[in-house]
Amino acid sequence: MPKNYLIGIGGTGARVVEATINLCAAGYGPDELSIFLIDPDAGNGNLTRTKTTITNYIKCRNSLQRTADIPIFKTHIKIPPDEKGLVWEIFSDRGTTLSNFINYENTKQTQPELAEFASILFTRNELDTELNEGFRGHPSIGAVVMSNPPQDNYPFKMLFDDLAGSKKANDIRVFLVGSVFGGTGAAGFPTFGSKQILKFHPFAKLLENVSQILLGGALILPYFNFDPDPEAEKTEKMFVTGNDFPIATKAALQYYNEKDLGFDQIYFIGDSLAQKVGKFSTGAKDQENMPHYIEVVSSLAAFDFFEQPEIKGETDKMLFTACRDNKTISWNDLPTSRDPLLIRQTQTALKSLMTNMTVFAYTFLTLGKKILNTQHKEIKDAWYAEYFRFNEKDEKEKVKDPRQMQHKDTLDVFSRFLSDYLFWIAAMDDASGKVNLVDKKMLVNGEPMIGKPFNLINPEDETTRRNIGFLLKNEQENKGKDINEFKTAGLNQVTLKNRNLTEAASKFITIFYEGASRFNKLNYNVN
Amino acid sequence: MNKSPLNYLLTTALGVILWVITAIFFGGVFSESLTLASSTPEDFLASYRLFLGLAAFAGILNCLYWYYYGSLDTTAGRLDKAKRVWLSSIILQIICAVALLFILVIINLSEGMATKDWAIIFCMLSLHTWFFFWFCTFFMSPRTVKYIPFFK
Repeated sequence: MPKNYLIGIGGTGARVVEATINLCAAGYGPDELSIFLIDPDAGNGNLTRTKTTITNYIKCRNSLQRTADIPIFKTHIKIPPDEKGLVWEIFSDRGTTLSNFINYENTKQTQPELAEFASILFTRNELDTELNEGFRGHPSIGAVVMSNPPQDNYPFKMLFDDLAGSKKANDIRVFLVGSVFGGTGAAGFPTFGSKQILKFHPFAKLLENVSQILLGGALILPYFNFDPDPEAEKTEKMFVTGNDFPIATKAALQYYNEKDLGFDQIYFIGDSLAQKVGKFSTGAKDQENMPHYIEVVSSLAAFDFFEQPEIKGETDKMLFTACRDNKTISWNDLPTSRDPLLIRQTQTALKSLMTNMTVFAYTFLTLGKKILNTQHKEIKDAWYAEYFRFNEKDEKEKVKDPRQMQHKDTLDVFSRFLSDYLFWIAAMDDASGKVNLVDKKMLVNGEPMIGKPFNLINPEDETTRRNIGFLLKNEQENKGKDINEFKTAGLNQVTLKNRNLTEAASKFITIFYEGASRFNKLNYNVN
Repeated sequence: MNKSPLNYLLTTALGVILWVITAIFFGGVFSESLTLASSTPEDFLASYRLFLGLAAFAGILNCLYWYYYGSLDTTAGRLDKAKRVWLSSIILQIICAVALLFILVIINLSEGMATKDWAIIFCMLSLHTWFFFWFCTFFMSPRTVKYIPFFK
């Protein structure tokens, strides 16, 4: 079976990886996926959010007893053994500048002509700006510092170890994702896409035009905008704004057109809606943007790349693009497959899994938490009484209580993951009103905002009990069933017989997921 | 057994069979064993059967209402209220048994029946009312309210 690698470069790359993890959590993804990130801005808010998502995903998956019919957390996400190795931060020291990196001051003494050449290529600002917060929209700097990834250190060691273990053509599928218009992504995408760095690296090359690596990438064209910050623009010497995106994109595309890069397949992804995703930031923790549906599209491109049939020998170059039919985005507009015969089937699967995951997350975080905060003997719900029978006073029986010991830890990590998932999917329903996937107004009180408390609507309130039946935006299929029907036709109909689940937390999670799935079949005509 | 209409039919059948056993078979033997001051055993038997019939009717009716109430979707969202409804129902059944016995005692006050016999009659009335209600709802409540009856 081919090995799959997803490499997120820069802030946009990190956000696409976040989307990928969320899709994998819903059960839409390959069986196995190795992931790592490249970003010199270790404190970048987008990167931090993605690292948290990956960590929580792995914890959830490891603690859940999975059964064949429950698709959630299906993908085995592989990351370097040391969590710090998940991100290649490029610079080991803080305060590194391009001048330090190329030893500019010494070179001026020892090889003045080389230093002179460097001064032609880079401005004084570019040479002297600290790079620990990224390349600030200047990919030419990033291209210099990223051209020599350390193959003996994680995260690249993971990839090179696999290369050493396999000698089959195109057996290792590497997918790069980054933006064309920023700094880190725009620098890293062509650098890692060049033939000598990955595709025809001596460890990967098998024959003249045959490699162990099948190299793909999602080149993300401008798809968002952000509010300018006049104060930050006064203090920062080097930064990028939304106005720079088109010119940066044009220059980058010209470059890709002229260069013979090592990519076998490239997906060009962009959108003209240009929704606002937050305020301007040069980097660090302030650079945390709202999720965007284009990140889902980019993840779908990666999955399409990983799921393609095996290619033997030399590969043909392929370019993929997709566009909207109208000004809005619905489930049927998402480009899920390169194969026209598979598009409807994969779109339906995606919609089903995402709807199940959303209803599961919403009910788990509201009803589920309420149950866990209620005393065992007070609960008369049939599904609970049937599958959580134990004597509270007997110490030996406490292992059956989902509130106790390791079960509590499992349910807590699920709560964190599902809460982040709901924020992610709700935030995609932005102010433009054109993204018709999940309706945030049915899930959240107020606007989902980064760094602000995320307040879910109580599904049992008399005025909001029907929200659960209208979670999909502008859908004809919504039947408008309410939370009581979720209990009667969902939770109360779940059976755990023949499932061999012994852990109380896994039982609890499985009941809620299957309950959501049963409810969705009735209400949304999915599954 | 907790699916509709099976629970409705089984409960009605069980109530009727119980009445036949307690009112027809046991009632005949029981009325013959009584020592009455003025009435004949046949007169007493007729009123005994009528009162047991009323008790059975109350028990069956309460069970059917509980099944209907328990199968409403809205009940799933108000299990606390459902608990109160079940408790109120069983108390109502106890009151019903006591009230029927009280009326029967008043009617037959001059007959000089032994306390033991009244105790037997109360057991029969209880069997048709609160015990019948508990028994049927214990085994045949709709899934939403399946775990509400005592001792489930």
